[in-house]
Amino acid sequence: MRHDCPTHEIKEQAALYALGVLTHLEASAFESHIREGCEICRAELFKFERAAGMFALNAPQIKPPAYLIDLLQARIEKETAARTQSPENQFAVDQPFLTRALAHGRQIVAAIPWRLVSIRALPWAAASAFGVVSIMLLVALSSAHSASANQDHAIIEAKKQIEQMHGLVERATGRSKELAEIIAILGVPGVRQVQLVGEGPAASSRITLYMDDKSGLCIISADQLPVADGMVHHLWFVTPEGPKNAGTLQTDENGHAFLETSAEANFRNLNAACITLEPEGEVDHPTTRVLALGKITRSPRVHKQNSAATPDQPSDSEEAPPQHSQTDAPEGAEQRPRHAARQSGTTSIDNH
Amino acid sequence: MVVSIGSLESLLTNEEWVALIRHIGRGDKTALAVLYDATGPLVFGLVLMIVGDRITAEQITLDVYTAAWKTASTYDEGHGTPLTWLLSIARSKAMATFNSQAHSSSHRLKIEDGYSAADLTILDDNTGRLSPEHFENAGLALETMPAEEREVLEIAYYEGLSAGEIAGRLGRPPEEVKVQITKAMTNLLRPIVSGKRANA
Repeated sequence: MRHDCPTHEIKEQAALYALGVLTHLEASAFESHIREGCEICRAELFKFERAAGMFALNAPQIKPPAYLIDLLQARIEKETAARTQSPENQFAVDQPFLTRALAHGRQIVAAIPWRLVSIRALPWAAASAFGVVSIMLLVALSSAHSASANQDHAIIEAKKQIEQMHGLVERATGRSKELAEIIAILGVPGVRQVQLVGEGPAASSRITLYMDDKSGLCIISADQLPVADGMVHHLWFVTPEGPKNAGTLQTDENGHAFLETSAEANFRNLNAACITLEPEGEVDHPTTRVLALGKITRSPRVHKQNSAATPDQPSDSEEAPPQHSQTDAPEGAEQRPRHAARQSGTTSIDNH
Repeated sequence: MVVSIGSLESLLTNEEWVALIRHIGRGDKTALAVLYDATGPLVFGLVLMIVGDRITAEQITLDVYTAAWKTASTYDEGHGTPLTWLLSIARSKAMATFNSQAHSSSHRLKIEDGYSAADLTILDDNTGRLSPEHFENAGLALETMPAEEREVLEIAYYEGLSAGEIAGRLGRPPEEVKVQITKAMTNLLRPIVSGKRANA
């Protein structure tokens, strides 16, 4: 049934439909009626759709974040790449270049309200047309745009891969130098090798200390150390007088650290070595819990991890630092914090 | 931050708006950038009003302009101005998200601040030119609208509730709500049709 004039009911239906607040059934019925060709209802709907648009214009104007246009640009580039791969667009590319590009350029220049192009939009715009100081430049840019978008994407990806490769090479080079240092110190007769055993977040860390009694050279190599922003790892030598700072480890984002240092005191006075994670800056004593600890014995032999001392092995055995018994701990405070840390997980080393 | 649409400092003719959409339809990224620059705050503000969450609003705003990019070639002048077309996309997408996420109305933004709309333009039927005066009139229509009409209009537009649901919430008869919505919408139209400010 077609209407002859807009009744109140028609206006109401059109208004509610334009707002999208009719029920599904009501909306379907109204759409069917419009499709049947009722021009009166179509005109009313058109009016109220414009009213809805008017209402939308009263929403608060809120500036979107600046990065949104970059995200939009990325999306559109993706869409464009998809378009250019379609057969339809392949055909368009085959049209006579100059004719097509000139026509396109003239249309753009004539129709785009250039005064509205803001500085922020310029980089994007320049990629397409706004950078035109002449029609010819526009022609070149317009024509090459799709292809250059793909090329740009490929270049960006390639640059990323190159950066990653650079990182890998630098890391490999650094590690090879470290290995050379370790091999060199291992070649020194009587050098000692101590494994530090990790606690809590450092439980999976692998930390080895190499000590040359004669030269006083000391190398520590660590992997899988827990890292935290604004925090650095410190190496401590535990002496009868208390812990002494042996240096700061330059730990990378993967938890790898390498430090070459020297022991001020005679190695024979060292009871243990440990690592803590401290706030950046100088510290003269540990302020946080011990992450890893290794007992330094007086016997210049190689220590192995995970082979705990047994009661029949003396405290100066070459085994790993004590984990279960205090009886094999050397005198001094260096074992107390470790034991306490295992108990509570929060103990810090203090000066003893 | 609530801002005015400063980028629309110059009036656009309807032909210019339509040309913009036509160029977008032909794959002109510059035209899309111009449209975004001119209407971004309007679209983002509207979407944010509906979904009430900035992160979601950002995603939907991207969806809106992506949809505009894809569908501009099918834009039909006979179904509204480019701005109302764009805002229709925005509301549709925001409402779909809002409904799917079942937001509660307590999360909704409130219009706490006024905004300067003096330089925002809409289409004048008689001159084919976008007139800030008419936008001002539309704002006036809302300001002078009876509170109960404005209330049902805002709930209907921003929350997409049916007349029956609005009636249930406000404790009014459904028929009364329908009448109020129709009156409110008619009041909004008055400035466009007559060129005069709407009367309450």
